[in-house]
Amino acid sequence: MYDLLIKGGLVADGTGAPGFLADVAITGGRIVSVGPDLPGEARRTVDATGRLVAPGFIDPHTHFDVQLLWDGAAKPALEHGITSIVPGNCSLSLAPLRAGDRPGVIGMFQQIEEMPPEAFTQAFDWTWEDFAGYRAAIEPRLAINVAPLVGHSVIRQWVMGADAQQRAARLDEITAMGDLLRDCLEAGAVGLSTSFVDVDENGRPVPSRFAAFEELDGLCAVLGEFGRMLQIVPEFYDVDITIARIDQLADLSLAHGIPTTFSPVFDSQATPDAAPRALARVEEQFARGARVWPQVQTRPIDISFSLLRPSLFFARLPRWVRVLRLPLEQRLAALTDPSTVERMIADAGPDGGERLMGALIVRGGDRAPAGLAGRTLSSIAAERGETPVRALLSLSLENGLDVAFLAASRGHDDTARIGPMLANPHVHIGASDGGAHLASFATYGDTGYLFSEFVRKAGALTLEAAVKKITSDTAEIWGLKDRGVLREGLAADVVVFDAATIGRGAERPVFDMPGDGMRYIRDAIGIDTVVVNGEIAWSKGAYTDAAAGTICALN
Amino acid sequence: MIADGQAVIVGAEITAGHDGQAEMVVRVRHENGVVAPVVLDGCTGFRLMANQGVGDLAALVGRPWRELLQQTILARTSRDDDDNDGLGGLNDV
Repeated sequence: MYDLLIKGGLVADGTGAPGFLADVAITGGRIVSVGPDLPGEARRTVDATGRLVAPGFIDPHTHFDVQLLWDGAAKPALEHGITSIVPGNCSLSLAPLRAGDRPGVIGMFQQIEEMPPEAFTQAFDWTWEDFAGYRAAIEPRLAINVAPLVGHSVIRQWVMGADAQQRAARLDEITAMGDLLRDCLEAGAVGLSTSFVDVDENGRPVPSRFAAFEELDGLCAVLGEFGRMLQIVPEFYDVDITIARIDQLADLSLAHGIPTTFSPVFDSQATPDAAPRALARVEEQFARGARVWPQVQTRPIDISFSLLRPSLFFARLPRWVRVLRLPLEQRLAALTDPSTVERMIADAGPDGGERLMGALIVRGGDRAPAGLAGRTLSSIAAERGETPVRALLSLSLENGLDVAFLAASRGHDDTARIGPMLANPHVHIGASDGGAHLASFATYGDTGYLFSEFVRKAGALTLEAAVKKITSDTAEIWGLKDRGVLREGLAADVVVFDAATIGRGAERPVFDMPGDGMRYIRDAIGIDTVVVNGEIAWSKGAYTDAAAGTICALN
Repeated sequence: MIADGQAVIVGAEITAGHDGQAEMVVRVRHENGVVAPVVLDGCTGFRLMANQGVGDLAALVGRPWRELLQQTILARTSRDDDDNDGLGGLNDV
């Protein structure tokens, strides 16, 4: 008798092969058979008629390191069909970390993840210092699989103390870092992450940015002993520097026999040559035999702002810039001065700001009335009998300026350009940043968006190719053993979804972080069932009590 | 203001940054004729506009890039604090 039988679905097995009608039989957390009309009984059966059955999706760029300590499902990632995640990106992990170094690293995490301080003081007990200890702390409650990176910044911090954020390392320190990295890899780390961009909560470069090339080379030599991944955040705002980093990664990949990956790669109408140039260089380096995987995200980038802080969103409105750059008290005085307000309103155009501001969305999660969240300024203005520009000003003033507005899809938003990038065999779909930027935007639902926008709407990828991209391709790139394909003998990570509707819900604020902290999320659309290591973890809109996740075994 | 024989700004736009904040992309034509973008975060973008005394992106076109770079990025001083940006105060709005 099988433990679980998923019957009658169209199986896209992760290889990119055309889908085929089949059952998937699971026993002991493993797939035991895939084929049509499988004989035999099962303890549980999932009717997948009319649904697509695929390997669980794998998200290679997340920051769930902290959340996993109280939420083993990395919600809402799992309900979007994601069964494996890679945390520890961008040079930051929660281990190895000495107790005395925790405050500094917490500050770095808060800068990146925007997580409330209570997350670090109330939600879990610090029971570890080394990487094996962190693994032991998260493993018992995992409902999702985890392939954790170890952060270069915390390795530096461990070996160099305060000097980690001040200078390059000596040779003996590089050796010590290598030994520490080796311990982490032996404890299950999937690789090393580093950053050339990130800053701490005080705006200082994170420790990894003080490393000389010799240090990175030495650490990559250790990665080479295991064939594990190097992940970096390059200076993505400058394509020429990014290309130089691609060349550096290629040299490290070839010298040490390791895979490397970098993120993010953005497409922008303001810099239309940037992403194509970076990807062209990647192609050249793959032709040399290097493995340099660029991560391209599916979702567009939005601009968000409130009148609490000046935003370049108003850069084309000089008077607005001047007002919003005033100290708060003077700014409030200006925003309540009738003559100033009338001039600002006039600047927004004869249409009352409809063209400039009408499509702005009230985000919620702040002092804005909850009922306004998700609505356009145009519709709110109509309801209030105001023009959009006057509604923006009055709504802000009524709520202490603490009303966040969102200008949707202002970057990385040209589907016709991004679709072919995602389909490129040398492009790694990733960079979701799940678990980070909590108070800025939702980092969930990128996989649903891949299907809704680039498969169904644009036809840039076939359904099977899209599945392959976020399952077997990812498993192969990262060396995740026995995952990414629906095949006998492999781990039973499965997602059952409606190919006609899979997508992502609207961004919405929730207050489910420790200390009632706020974050933006997106709900899953079209996902019926998510199976992790043979256990149903999500079904018909609800999480189960299953905790079958594990630390991913590696090739 | 048009600068000859040196790197000049030939365009400026606002775009969305990785963190959801608005950023400024300045396109610079260098001395060798190459046009390349430079991405500035919000604070730097505002300082650049302030140091040049402009309140409109279009007014940056033709400005000498090296001079701006020196004033805005390489020589950041207390004068460039957010509250003292040279864009004018309440009486100017």
